[in-house]
Amino acid sequence: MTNPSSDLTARVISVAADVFGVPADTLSAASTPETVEAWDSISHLNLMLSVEQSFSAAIPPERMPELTSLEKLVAEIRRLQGA
Amino acid sequence: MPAPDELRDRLAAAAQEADGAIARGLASQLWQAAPALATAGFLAKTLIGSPAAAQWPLRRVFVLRSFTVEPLLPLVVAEGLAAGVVFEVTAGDFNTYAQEILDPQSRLYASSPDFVILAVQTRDVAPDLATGEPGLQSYADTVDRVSSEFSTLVRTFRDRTTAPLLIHSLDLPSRPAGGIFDAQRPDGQIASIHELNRRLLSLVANVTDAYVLDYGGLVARHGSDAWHDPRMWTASRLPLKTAHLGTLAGEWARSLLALCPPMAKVVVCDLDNTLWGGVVGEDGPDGITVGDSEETSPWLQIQRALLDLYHRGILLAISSKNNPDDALAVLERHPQMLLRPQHFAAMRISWDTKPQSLSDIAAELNVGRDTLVFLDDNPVEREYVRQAVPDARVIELPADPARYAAAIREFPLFERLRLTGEDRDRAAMYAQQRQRAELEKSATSVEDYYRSLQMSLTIAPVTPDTLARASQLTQKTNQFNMTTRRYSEAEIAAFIAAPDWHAFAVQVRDRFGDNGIVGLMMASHDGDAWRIDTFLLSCRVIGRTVETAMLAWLGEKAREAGATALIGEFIPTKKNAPAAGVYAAHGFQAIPGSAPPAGVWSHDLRADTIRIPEWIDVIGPPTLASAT
Repeated sequence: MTNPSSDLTARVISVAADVFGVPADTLSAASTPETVEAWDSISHLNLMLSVEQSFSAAIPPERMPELTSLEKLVAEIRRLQGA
Repeated sequence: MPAPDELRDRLAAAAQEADGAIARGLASQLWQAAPALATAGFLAKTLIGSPAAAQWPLRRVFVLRSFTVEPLLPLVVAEGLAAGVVFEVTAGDFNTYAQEILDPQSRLYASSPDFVILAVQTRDVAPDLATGEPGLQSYADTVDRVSSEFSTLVRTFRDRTTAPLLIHSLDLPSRPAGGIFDAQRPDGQIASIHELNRRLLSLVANVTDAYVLDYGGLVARHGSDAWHDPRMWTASRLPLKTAHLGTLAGEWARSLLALCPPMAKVVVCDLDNTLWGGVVGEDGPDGITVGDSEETSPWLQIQRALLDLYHRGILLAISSKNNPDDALAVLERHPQMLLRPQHFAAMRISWDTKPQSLSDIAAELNVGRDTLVFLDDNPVEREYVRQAVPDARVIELPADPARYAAAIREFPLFERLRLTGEDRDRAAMYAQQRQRAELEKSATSVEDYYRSLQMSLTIAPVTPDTLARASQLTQKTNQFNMTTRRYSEAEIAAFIAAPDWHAFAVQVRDRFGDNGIVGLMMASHDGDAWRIDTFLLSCRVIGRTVETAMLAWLGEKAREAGATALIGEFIPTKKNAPAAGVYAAHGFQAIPGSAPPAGVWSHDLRADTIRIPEWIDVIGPPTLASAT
């Protein structure tokens, strides 16, 4: 938990697990819509909005379709928080 | 309140228990601590299908919509779980609400929903009213078209299903196209939307189980600019900002929960530092703070919020650790109090524990403990009640008393979508009943008690104004009802029009208030006798010799009209044992061939007179138009 980068990843994984309704240990930073059955277009929108709620970050709507892995999502949050 | 992570762990464990009460309480706490989509997902995956939620009511909700509602759905489910209800929520296809209502084969009807929401916005149903046209264009045609569309949709819906329907009212644009000029026009853009909403309201008032969900009001409360997210609207047809997803889902849930049988019937309030500032046992009745102005006093605001619930039919009760004399001194005499003893249906002012008081109050009011809502400023007491009486609901209060009133008003289970006259009077009736019971306890004899009640009866022929109540009494009275004959308004109207029938409504007042019309007597001529067809009394006033006064009065009227006997029948049912001995107790003789107490009873008006008890004043009509 001392590494802020892995801490953020763990928190994103936890949020995604809640949104997809799956145990957190079935997800990783590499998870994508191809590897997660519950990750469809509707839960993608819910994931984006959950991240906004949980990390107080406003993701630009035009960026949302591109954030198709938890890794990319973590990077986006970091970008928004750094900005 | 515990941290969300701890609540999650405890909830995950409680979800595996068969008794769902603890899980429900934890779900409610967790949802209040972190009302976000991630929490909603956790609640759903932890509770749906779990042993704890197995006994919770399940309600299927179908959302007809003109915009993206998907992110709202898990939030509505979470609101339900926090209240112990499993909502199974489905959305119709995007912007196809009209086809889905009109097509009898649609997914809407096939899913046989319990509740349906029609979620629309002004810009979807009336684009020209949302954008507006500058200048003097009339919106009259749009108003007519949209209101007629609503009417067709709602009436078609009602023909096809009995599911309650909640319809969004229309929101106002933040800036009308005509600028400040629009406000000058009675037929302007804003005025036309108001007109549409007014027509929507009269539409739902005339359709069974159709309700308005005040979307326009909700947007206005939060501000149109703060509510709307133009970029998400363009990208995903999601009109509102992320911050307001929970606001709209919460508003939907308030209505959906109000459509379930009432889950909160009684608010059990602490006194010190909850209804007033300070501790009366230490500060004295003059040392506590109530405040002078509702604008500034949190205590008066709390009392006003509770008084509003009282007028909604929600009972108020007190659970306070105090000497009764200290607390009653404030309740009875403090000049600024809004709440008085007559507002409370039950009082537990003692040194009992709060869980003990809650159980006693539930027993006294004859309600389930799961319909009690506990209101106490002390977090230790709240936690004690959560642990010891997990089926009761607990309102989580913020630290600042200035926020208490809002917490009471925001508690979703106090909402009602319908309010009958009976609902409005319920809290007062219960409170009066408590005062009568106290009087009975302090009376030295039963006669002394009857005298101290200061009862008066007003007996009058049933008129068109009292017809509905008379019919309702025949439909609902089971215990003190000699014949249990159920009559519609039309049937009673026929009786009162017939020359050889008499129908009398009995209103009972006492020192604690007016019970309203609680008795009914109907009799017809049978040779020289009056035959009593219906004789009933609401359970609210039984055990107070009211029936003696009624029979005495009826006998006198019959004698005045030349009758020689009163004939009564008793038809036993599973529930009317309390009425079984009435005719025998008033000197009626069983007619040979009948088997007491069932059968036919006769009272000879020439030989005997039934006396009105001396403790009851009877006010009858001076003459009876049809009794000659």
